[in-house]
Amino acid sequence: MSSENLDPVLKKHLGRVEAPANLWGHVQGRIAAESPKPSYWKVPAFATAAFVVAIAGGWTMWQQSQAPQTVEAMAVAALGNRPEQLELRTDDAASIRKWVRANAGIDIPLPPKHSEVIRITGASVNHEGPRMAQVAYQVGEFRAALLVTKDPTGVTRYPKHDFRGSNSLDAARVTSWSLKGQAYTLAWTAPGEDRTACLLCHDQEPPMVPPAAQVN
Amino acid sequence: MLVDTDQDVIEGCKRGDEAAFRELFESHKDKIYSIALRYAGDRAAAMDISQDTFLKLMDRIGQFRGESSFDSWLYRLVVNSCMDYRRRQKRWLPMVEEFFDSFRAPQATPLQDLMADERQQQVQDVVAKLAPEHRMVVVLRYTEGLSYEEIADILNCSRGTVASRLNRAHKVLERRLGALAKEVGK
Repeated sequence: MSSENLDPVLKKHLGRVEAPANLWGHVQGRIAAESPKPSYWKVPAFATAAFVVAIAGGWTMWQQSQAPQTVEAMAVAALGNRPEQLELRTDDAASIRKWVRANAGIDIPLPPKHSEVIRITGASVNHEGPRMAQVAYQVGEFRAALLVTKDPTGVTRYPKHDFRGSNSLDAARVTSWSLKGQAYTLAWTAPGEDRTACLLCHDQEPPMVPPAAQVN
Repeated sequence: MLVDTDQDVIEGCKRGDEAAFRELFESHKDKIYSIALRYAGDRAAAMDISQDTFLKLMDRIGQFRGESSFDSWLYRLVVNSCMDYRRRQKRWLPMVEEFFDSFRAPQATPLQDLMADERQQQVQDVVAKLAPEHRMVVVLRYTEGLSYEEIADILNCSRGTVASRLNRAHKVLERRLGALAKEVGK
């Protein structure tokens, strides 16, 4: 492509677009969530600033030391979350699908009705980093967490489950696959080669999960 | 071209008038969302950046003294929100890229993917891979149609820096978009 052709191409394809109709609702939601702010003016400015810097520094260091290093580790860590840590607490799959789509731009193909052995606890989305959503649920007495990430690399457009593999990590089973531009990582605590965790999305025939390789 | 916003609306926002804020939102939402989308290359990220920008606007409008035009001031807010977004992404990106690198689409070839894509998405993807400072200049130039001087004012750099960044971005885009065009044409 020559330089004289570049200008019109960029003008045409990078032009303005209309903001989504729900942007105002999201802005209002954020305003409501972040106000009212505490009256810091009553505290001496220097002490406040020093306190904020110390807390922020400590928080950042703590987060860096605590942050899981892989997506699989994040999924396993999510198994330990308490229900009250979830942003949306509901067992309604349709509500979760709608909420995740609105808040993370990720469509998790949860069927409106799922197996009776599955009990959804809720969902959260990642606000500080890549597009990622988590659905927490119980499979009978066992816990399970599904992490779904938007693929920023464009390598995962294959329309069927493309399994990356399964591992055992910290006494949990973890398996990852990609499907239509999204990557899924499922962690669950049931023993053996149990595939009931797949019933969250597959009421009939869950796809074959490859055998686990012991990691930790 | 920068267009100045009604002073009454700005004063209303400073007083905390919700109707004035809504009016300001309606006047500028497409501009802010478009810059965010073209910069981040992702709709959900663009929503986040747009929300951040409007929150900053509401929080800081009392500091707007009218020394520069309101539009320049607003452009700086959205540019800062884009940079904040990039900083947040940076911490996570290596982990996510490594994760996705481990996947390989077994049947779809890059050529098939390319042909199936919309041209607009291709251009946006190529722009999204530019260095952040080059990307922002390209977005302000082509999404907003700003002059070199206006971009220099918003980014607080010289006109020469803008020209140099745009020139480098053009070279990268020519090469990458040219390669895409050749592959599609094969």
